[in-house]
Amino acid sequence: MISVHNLAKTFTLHNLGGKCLTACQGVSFAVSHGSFLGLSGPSGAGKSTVLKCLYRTYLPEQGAIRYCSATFGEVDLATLPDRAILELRQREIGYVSQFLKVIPRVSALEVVMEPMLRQNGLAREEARRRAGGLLERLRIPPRLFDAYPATFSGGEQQRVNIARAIGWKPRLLLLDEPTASLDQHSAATVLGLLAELRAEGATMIGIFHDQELLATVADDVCRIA
Amino acid sequence: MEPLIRVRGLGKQFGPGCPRCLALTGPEADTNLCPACGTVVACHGIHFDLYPGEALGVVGESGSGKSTLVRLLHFEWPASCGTMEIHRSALAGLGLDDAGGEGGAYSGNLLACNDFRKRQLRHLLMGIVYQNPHLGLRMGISAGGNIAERLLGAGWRNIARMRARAAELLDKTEVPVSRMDEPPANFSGGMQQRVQIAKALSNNPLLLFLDEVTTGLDLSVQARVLDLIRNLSHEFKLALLVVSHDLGVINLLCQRTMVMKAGRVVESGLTDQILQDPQHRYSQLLVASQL
Amino acid sequence: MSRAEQTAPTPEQNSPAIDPGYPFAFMDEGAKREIRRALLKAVAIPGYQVPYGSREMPIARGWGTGGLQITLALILPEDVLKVIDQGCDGSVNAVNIKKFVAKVAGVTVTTDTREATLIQTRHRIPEERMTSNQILVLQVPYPEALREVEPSENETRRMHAEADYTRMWLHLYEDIVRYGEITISYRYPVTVAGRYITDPSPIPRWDVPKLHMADTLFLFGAGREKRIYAIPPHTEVIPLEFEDHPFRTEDFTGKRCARCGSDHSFLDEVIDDHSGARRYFCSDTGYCDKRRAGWNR
Repeated sequence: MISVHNLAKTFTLHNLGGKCLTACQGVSFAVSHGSFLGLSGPSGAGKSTVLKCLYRTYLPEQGAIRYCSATFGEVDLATLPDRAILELRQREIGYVSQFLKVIPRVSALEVVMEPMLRQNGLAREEARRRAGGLLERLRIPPRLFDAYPATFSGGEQQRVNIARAIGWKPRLLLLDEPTASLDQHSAATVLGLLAELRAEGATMIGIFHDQELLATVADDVCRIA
Repeated sequence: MEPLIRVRGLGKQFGPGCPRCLALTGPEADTNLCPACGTVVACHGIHFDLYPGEALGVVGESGSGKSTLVRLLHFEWPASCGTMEIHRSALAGLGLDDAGGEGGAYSGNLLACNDFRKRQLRHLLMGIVYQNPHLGLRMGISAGGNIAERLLGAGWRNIARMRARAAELLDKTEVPVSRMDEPPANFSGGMQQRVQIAKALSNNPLLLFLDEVTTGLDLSVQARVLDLIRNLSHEFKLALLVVSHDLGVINLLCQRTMVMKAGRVVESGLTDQILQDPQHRYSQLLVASQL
Repeated sequence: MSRAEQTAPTPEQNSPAIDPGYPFAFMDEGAKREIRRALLKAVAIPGYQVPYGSREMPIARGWGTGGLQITLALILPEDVLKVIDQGCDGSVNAVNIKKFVAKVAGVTVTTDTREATLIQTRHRIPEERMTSNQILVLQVPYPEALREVEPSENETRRMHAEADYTRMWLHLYEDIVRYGEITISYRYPVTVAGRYITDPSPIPRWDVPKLHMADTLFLFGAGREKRIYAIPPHTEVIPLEFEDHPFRTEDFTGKRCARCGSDHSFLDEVIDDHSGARRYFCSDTGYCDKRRAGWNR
């Protein structure tokens, strides 16, 4: 489904006299449809960089990222035009960051509903019902549904973040330490939700700092050095 | 999906111009003033597509040419060079089918239309919100009248329907409808800005230009105006061109962004990429100074 | 256009009344030709204001010199002239203009609308329907209909060129919002031939419908502002109106002329100094006289 060949990313800092920082180099892996690839490696090895290159938040320097998209067929995410990337982000590729970065002054429920409305074309009522169910499973009490996530605790924010990212059932999900700020119980719930999504055919690539956790969710592990 | 508008090679110069203008200005020279002849190259070689329902950001310091760009596209200033074409489907049913071009999916160069046609295009397809409400509103005429002006321009001739529409828009933009017949001169800055937005949206435009709309407003008012724009742009399926020097505004509203410097686009890409992995020296400086 | 080709009359056409100290019809032939050219252009572009070189007249600017110059440029010795001021044949200005034209062109004068071939008027259109053999010359103080909303001449010219009339419409919208109706009583703006918004001169609303698809040629002269424009016969003249606020003329329901009893003409209100009673009279005195003469026959 997705294969990465010799991916490299270097940051050129013009304002530091053109200093070059290599964030990752020579990364290659392949993920088959419906499987879960874990990325492991020491901190600073460039795991997040790889995910961001896949999502194109970073512009890959070198290498190819072949992805069999449902929308366009096989494409190279490293060079695909911006508009097509946006299209894929809208329709099939989801990304969970380490921290919630959503629009301010939007209620928790709306945060989760928004991609469902836009991407799945659900009616508002249906989206509200699904989003509410998802948040409740993630133990966000209904009294917080109308509150702004900015006022939530770190763990609560992260659970809203996850609900938003998986609620619309992306075809390919990129996970950057989704459970890092969660207690064990919440983490287990999240893993359960991810397992359900995989059962529906989603492909995932994820970073977990907890090696044990990684071993339980991942079919395969790629070590980034 | 095909772009709503295609802009190619757009440029504007103020001054006599000389053969060296373009070589001696731009981001490398760090100026838009030609040292040889004194011409200001306000912008040059602008090239982009804007898709239906998309928000495209234009970011850069003052004098980078971003407001000039809006004024060219809104037909306020004549362009020195370049073309702007619109998808023919946007013109269907508006009686503007003869906007030039040789068949095909796109119109001819709209920038070459006569003033009469440009005015029609503006009334039927475009809306604009300026940083300074005095540019977008007639301060001595009622808020409702300001909205009606746009509708009248688009051919509306029914007072009751215009008033109903104005009330609906003022309600959407959170201006008390009871104040519809008051002139905006009586309103606060944030409220004037919301009346401007209501006016800009009144003719159901396909294309909305936002020129530094939140600059100069209190933070809390800024937030409300931005929320409003975000919600309305979804509701109205608008294509937005958002000009701002504030990366926060761009980040909130736009999926794609162009970075301008000294009249040229130095970088364009996905907004999150521009913010997290800026490529050009100037983009890096801009991001580093703001975040 | 025989009028435009007119040359100086031969001596035997010359009525003895003509003052020999002036050329026929006061103006020199060059001046008349220039005005006729402006008139031809005005007729060709209905409602468009044609600039022309307004001449000095023996009356002050602002007292009907625009109308007078058109009258003088058009008049033929065989013409029958009527001059009215706000409907009145006997007002000082009307009488003076009439006397002057008669003196320099030797034409017959009349107060009967039907008899006249050329009528010069200020602020009224006669009640009796005019025919295709007649010309009505209207005196215009302010030819620019958009002046109310835009002080700059450059800008109003641009607005006309681009048919950018939004601000005029906005002005009417604000009027309705503020007062519940359009408050313009005289100089009601009209769209001529679907193109130019035009000032019909300060005629009351009552007279505006008479301009629409008329048999008569209407010529407008603004001497001080140096503009000539025209509404040719059989031209659409539509007052600016909204679907839900249609144009209305003055309402004289239940009122009639105290002199001739007319209940279908434009009436002037007169308050009796002694009794304080309101009475109404026809504004068109020629028409009123004719009706009274009709009773007596």
